[in-house]
Amino acid sequence: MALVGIDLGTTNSLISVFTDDGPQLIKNGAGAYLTPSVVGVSGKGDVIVGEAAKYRLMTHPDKTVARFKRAMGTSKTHKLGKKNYKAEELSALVLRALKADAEKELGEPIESAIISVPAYFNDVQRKATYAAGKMAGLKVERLINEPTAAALAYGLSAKDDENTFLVIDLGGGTFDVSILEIFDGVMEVRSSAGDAFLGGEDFTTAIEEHFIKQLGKTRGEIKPKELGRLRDLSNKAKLGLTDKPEITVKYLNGSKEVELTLTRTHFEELTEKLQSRMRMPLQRAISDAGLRSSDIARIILVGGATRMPVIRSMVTRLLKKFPEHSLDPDEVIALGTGVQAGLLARHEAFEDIVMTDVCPFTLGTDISREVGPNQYQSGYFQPVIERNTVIPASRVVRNSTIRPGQDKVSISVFQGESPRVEDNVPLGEITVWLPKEKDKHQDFDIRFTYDVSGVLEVLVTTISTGKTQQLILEGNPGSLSQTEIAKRLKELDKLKIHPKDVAENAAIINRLKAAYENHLGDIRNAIEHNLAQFEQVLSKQNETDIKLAREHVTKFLNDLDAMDVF
Amino acid sequence: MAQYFEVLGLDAPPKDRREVKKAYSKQLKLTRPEDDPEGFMLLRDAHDRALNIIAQEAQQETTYETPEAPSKTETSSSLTLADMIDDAAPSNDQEAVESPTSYAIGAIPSLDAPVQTRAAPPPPPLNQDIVDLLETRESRNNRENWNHLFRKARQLDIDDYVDFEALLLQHILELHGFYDENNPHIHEPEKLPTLLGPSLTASLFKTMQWDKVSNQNTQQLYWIEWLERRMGMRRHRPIQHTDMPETYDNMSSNLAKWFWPALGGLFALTFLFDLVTG
Repeated sequence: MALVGIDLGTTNSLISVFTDDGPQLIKNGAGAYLTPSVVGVSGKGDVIVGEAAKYRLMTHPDKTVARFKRAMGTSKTHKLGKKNYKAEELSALVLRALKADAEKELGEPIESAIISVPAYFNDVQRKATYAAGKMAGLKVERLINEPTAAALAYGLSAKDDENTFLVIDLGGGTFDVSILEIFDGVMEVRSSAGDAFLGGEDFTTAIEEHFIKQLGKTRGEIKPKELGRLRDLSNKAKLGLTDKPEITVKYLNGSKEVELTLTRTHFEELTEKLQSRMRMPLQRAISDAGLRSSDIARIILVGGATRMPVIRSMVTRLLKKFPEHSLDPDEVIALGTGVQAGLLARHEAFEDIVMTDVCPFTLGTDISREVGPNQYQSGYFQPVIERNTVIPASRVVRNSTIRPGQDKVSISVFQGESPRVEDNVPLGEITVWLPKEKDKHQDFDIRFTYDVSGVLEVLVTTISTGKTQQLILEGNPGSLSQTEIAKRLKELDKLKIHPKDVAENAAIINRLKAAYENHLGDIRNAIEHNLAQFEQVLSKQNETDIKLAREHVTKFLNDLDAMDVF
Repeated sequence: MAQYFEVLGLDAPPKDRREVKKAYSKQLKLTRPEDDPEGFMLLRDAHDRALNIIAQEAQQETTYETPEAPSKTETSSSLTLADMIDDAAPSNDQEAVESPTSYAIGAIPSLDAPVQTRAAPPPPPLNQDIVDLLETRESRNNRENWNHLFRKARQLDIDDYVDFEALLLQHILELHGFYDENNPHIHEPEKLPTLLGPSLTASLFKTMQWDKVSNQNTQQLYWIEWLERRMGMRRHRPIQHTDMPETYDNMSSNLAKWFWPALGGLFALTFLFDLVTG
């Protein structure tokens, strides 16, 4: 029975475990640390997860979904073949795949996990992540904020120093900033800020738009399958621009090969808006921590998207300091969740280390305010726990009824930073009955308690009677109830998962097919030849031969990918 | 009730930040947040309290000595404000120091006085650009000018940008007559004609994140609420107390007051009538 750490990412997911040698990533069936967060169904209705599904994005765009993390906690469903799935269920399938891989690798069953979430995930999205864990048959011990996890991975090597860190995490779909202070074995998160809808995928989309324009088309005119190929090329172009100032990719437009080009300067112009969206969270995290940017000793870049030179130069310009990236930005968070697993299990390496985190958003209730004599305006947001308060935290506010003789109040709980509640995220509502006394106002206390896992408890106490009522925050429009989770768990159990090595072989075949559609002439012939040979080897069912062929074809495909990009 | 420094495991109030941090980290290992949330919350409160007291003491000291500029924001923007007042009312030099403008960015007035006499610090970022932009009605109502200003501002580093935002807020307040002592409508700013078009105003509020104010101090909140009214950004009309919908309970109390006694009386009357007619 092991406790694992999981980075459930928008683009890729990873799993790790804490050993005596520190946090270790666990390889998946295909021998890689990164498992693409992609889910698809085969023609027979079997579920395909990870690498194999990733290539089906191009060949079977209608039966494959990606980037569903963004829909966590919403009622949005994804059509996969004949059935509709919620983001929680798709995430659960990815978690299941990770769990199965790790169990095979570790040789013991895995029952519990720590899952990382963007710091800026709201209460609804956090509950959805819990639900996904449950549906995957995992007990979620703790959710950890991604930048906190990243700092844990880095902080471990620097625990004796006194340091202020700024962690910038630009993942596939989310952007997070955290400031951490380390002193005397205490790791203290000072502040977190972020944008839950900004990530590397948006930069890819910017390139995609640019290419569509270069082709002289509109998005609507392009078939889903072609769009899938175009996105793949856009992503390759984005990666290519990391090392080169200019990039050309070949796109098969109908039967004609078209060259699409993009320079780094142009890319910077295309993404100007996205870059400026990164400024605000940075600024807020720094000012919330009560610091100036000159007080920050180290800047750490996390998340695959921070490989982009655009991001690095922007960070350097804004903070007048060079960022560091000594750990692989794709793996940092997963390593950090592994560290957290060690911390939670009280591994001996952590005897004198304590970590404290903050609540990254403001939690409060709606109130009416007196704006003039006998004039009231409703819908104001009253913060109870201010953002970046160290958790666990408990705060009380005293409110009073507006009208004399009023014997009922309904209190709505919100999360957000806007002074008007309609712009904030609703979390729940409670109706409290008060003793009815003519011509008298009733006072009541509202207590918010926020625990280390980010779960909120709300208690309302009437002053005159001392009676306390509790608000259970459940039943948000987007989230699932407990019974629903149990029901979906059963349904997911029924789904057949592709056997592991079959999945791996399928991945290669899908990749070959995708490559075939992307090329012309001699190369296309070579791909066809490889495909035919590989299928022939598979039919003979000799394990060693298959393994050899797999290696051969993978090398061929990697060479092909390298050729694609200039 | 234990003193805050006792909670931190100290015998006397700590002298500096470092001492607080040391004591806190020592106690923290005994009261971990996940094991003892209640104890941790007490410890954290003591820690915050100790740091606040130390910060306050430090601030008091600086008011006696020549301040070593507690924060660059405060020095630069309060100076600018004084400059601005000088421009606006050159004859009123002495009053300018006393006017509410010296409270810029939460600085206390006594902090400002010695700063005035010091050598001029580097000019605040983009001050001239803002002044030029706001100068005439045409230039401040040209969206392109605003785009240009913010594009330039985004090239600044974070610290300068923070200063720039504070500076722009002050300039906007100044433009709308917040610091004008002869402004007859200072308490009813919505009565004055707007100086910026509605769409520009909306863009400005959004860009400056003035619509997100939950973590700002009272002074800033006051400024922004004033600007909201002055610039016509109020989205909601206040509801009259007397216009608020009657609750069901109040209706039932009317029922209790009139209907039931009346019905009872009716029954009594029928009963009496029965008796009489027997």
